Amino acid sequence: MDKHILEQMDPKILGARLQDARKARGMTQQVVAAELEMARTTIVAIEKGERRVTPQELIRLAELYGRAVSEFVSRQVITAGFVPQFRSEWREDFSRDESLEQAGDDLQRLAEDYVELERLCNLPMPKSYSSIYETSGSSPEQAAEEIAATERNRLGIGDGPISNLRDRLETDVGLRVFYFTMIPTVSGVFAYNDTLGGCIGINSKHPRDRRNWSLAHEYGHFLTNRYRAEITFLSERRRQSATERLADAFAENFLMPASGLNRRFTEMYRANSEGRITIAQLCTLADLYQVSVQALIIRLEKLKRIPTGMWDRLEGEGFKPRRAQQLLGINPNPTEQYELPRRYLNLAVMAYELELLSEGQLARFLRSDRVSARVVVEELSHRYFAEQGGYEDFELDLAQTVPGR
Amino acid sequence: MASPQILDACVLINLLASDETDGILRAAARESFICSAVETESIYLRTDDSSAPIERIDLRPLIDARLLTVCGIEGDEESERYVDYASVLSDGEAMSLAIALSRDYVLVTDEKKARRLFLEAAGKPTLLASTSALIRNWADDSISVERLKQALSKVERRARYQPPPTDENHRWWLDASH
Repeated sequence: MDKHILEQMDPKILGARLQDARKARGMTQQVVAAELEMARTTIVAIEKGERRVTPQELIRLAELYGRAVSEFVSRQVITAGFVPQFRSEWREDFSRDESLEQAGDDLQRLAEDYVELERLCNLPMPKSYSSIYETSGSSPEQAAEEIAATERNRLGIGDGPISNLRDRLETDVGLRVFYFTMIPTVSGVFAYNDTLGGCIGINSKHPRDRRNWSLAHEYGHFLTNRYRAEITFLSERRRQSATERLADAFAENFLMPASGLNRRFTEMYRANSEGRITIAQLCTLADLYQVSVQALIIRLEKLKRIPTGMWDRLEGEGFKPRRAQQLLGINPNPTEQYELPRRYLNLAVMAYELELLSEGQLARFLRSDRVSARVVVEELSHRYFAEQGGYEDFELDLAQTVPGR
Repeated sequence: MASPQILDACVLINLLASDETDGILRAAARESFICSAVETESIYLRTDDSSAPIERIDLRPLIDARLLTVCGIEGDEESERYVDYASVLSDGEAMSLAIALSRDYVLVTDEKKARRLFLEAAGKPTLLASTSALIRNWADDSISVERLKQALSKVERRARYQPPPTDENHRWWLDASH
């Protein structure tokens, strides 16, 4: 190597990363200084970027913080942290629950890795962001209905169900959507900065219909309040603010547009010779729209297609949507093959095939062990392991360029 | 005794998958090291039952049997090399490379990027080995065709590894495993 990495790196950036890692570990500068038998002022100077860290000091600091050395010296993408954004907007919640910080940190790291892969492969994310929608002068519900219709039109979705919302928001809008484990009370997080763009984290432990709703909800935040970091809680009580009402109403209108849902409901009604709609049909309709049975019934109540209070009545009678779906052979929670975005995976495999990433780095980008990373490479590139043993090839060179204008 | 060898995680996984690690390391007739970053990396293998959870591997028996020795970074030169390589490789790969270069150990890795960086720095291909080279060396030691076939098949199934066409033992591997 021509020049040592610690001489090339901006000491302020490295210092900030070390400071973040120390804080994430819950250690004071005093404790770190004592562990490393250094003066506290030396730690202060390193973190401020006023003194360059030596290789041996960096190795010891990484060990102390439980981080890989590569985490400090390999990341090229530098952005303002999401965690301070969340902390300033959600001060009370952050002070009550430290695990919230983890969700913000996870979102940031995943988004930075995504941009890093784009940088390595020289394939930036194509973005088609709408300008921020003005919502003053109308109720959150009215504004949400208009925005949802405009967005559906802009994205060319029409008024039918959206079969794969996650892929669509990534491909057609250019949002970064990650599914990862969060505490059960949080359904999603949203943050934005100019380098990373719009980033959404969805709780991967929630069922598909919940995840879909959360995704549409966070998209509503992106469209109306892009510069405010959001945490969406499951609890209804926390969702009464105007911005939360708007995001919920947006999700409702975006996932179940009135015109399309009315038309389908009417068709179902007509198809039944006795002029009745069954619970089974409602469950099937909810599955078609990839929303919960509760969300669908409440939407139909609001559209005045079924009597108001229907959901409350069914719930009072002990109706169990999951049990009903099971009886109807509907799988409400099909497992995602991959939790990371498809494009992210393709970029990671491409970078690996081009020797821009090593296997160890690939595994880190994929948040997996090495053998699982090998399986992803097999699946997304040119090899697969045959049932009868041995590898078979199908040629697909992801790095191959295709002519186009 | 020949120069010691240092195994990167990608090779270690393959050897462990073969269920013949003891014999393969003994056949190498040189001291075998892994670096501390590889020791702490969690190693998982697929089981023969594809629906069963992946299996975590414990390196302790190999270390206790002195078939593997764990080594760490020593001195300024190794530290500097380690940190430099950590900017382009994972910690385990970077540490293995730094130690191999500083101590003239044989680096055993299948990782293309690590091999390229090693050759750029060391310029001695004789100090570079691979999974296939270690297994072939072991196989030459009167191992039955069937036992070799089983070992290779386990590497393919449990570690999902087969040497690439650019590997000097690629053809040998295909002939021996099928």
